[in-house]
Amino acid sequence: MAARDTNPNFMNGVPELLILRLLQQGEMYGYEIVQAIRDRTGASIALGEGVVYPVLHNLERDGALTAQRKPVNGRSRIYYSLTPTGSRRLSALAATWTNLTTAIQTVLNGGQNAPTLP
Amino acid sequence: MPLPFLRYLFPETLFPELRERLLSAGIAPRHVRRYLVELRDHLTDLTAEEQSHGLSPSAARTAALARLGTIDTLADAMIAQPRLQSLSARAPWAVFSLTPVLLLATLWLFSLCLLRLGWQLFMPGAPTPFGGAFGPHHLFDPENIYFQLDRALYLGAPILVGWCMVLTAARQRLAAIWPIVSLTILALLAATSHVQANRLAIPTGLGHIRVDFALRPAPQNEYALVVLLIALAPYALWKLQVHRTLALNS
Repeated sequence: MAARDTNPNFMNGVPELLILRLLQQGEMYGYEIVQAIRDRTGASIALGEGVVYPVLHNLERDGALTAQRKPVNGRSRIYYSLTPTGSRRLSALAATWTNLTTAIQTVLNGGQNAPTLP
Repeated sequence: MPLPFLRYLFPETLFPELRERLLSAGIAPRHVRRYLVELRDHLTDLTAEEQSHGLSPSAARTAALARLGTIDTLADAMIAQPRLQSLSARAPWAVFSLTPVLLLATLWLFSLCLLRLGWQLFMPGAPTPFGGAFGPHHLFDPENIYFQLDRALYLGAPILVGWCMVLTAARQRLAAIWPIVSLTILALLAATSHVQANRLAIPTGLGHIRVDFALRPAPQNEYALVVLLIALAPYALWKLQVHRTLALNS
């Protein structure tokens, strides 16, 4: 019997969640987003920096982000900003992630009724 | 030295291998183009950051490339987003069989509208705008120029549409079968179409224009062959350039 792959990759959805959360605070371009992820996670999440762009393109295609080219200091940058659709997606992803981490923490603590380890 | 139009298909880029892999995997050319621009900008920022930490330009560049990710990582990340694929990669059978028919129909309709307009403007009483109905005319008469340009549009439409389909296939690095399917359809339509325009049914009316499709002898067959060859020429040149590039790199 073939093994069933019912659990998605553990990191699936994490870059998306982080990007949406960062862009909620204001528009950013790719390099800024990667630096912000690194700074705010204490470099715990290390990705090939270029892989952030496919996630951004996909979110833009879904209408969660808009992209706009702007000249800054003599260079042209592509800035991304959150749309109302993106805000709703962020709320849904954040709720899912909170439920997931709560459930995992419960298991790590020994189960729902288990006493907290000293 | 690549031909000028080939520069459009092979623009200068820092990541030529990545570009080819993404296009071959079906990622839409506009997403590939923007991805490469963003990676180039990101690499510039990373290099500047590493240099500000005291690295030499070459060491900073090496460190920046390592931080950006390998070609495999960068390609896999993009290919893992199937929604970024182009329609021509997801449904080539539809794009390369339906689109040429629709585009050709649009151009032919426009051309026939111009024919009707010219008929009303320059030959309001004539039973037909074709052949002897012109009567004696000179090459540079306005009506002659008008009808010849309209004729060129009608006859050139299959070639124009063929070039569009060839360009679409080349940009997406699709298999040769798809543009050949399009060009075959276009050549068949060109070979079998025949325009008729007359006022026989209602002599005092506006006149009647229609297009029939049927297998006909020469010169229609030669016309189909010309359409096929002229439309195929840029694609053949592009394929030749690809082979030469591969041979030079191997």
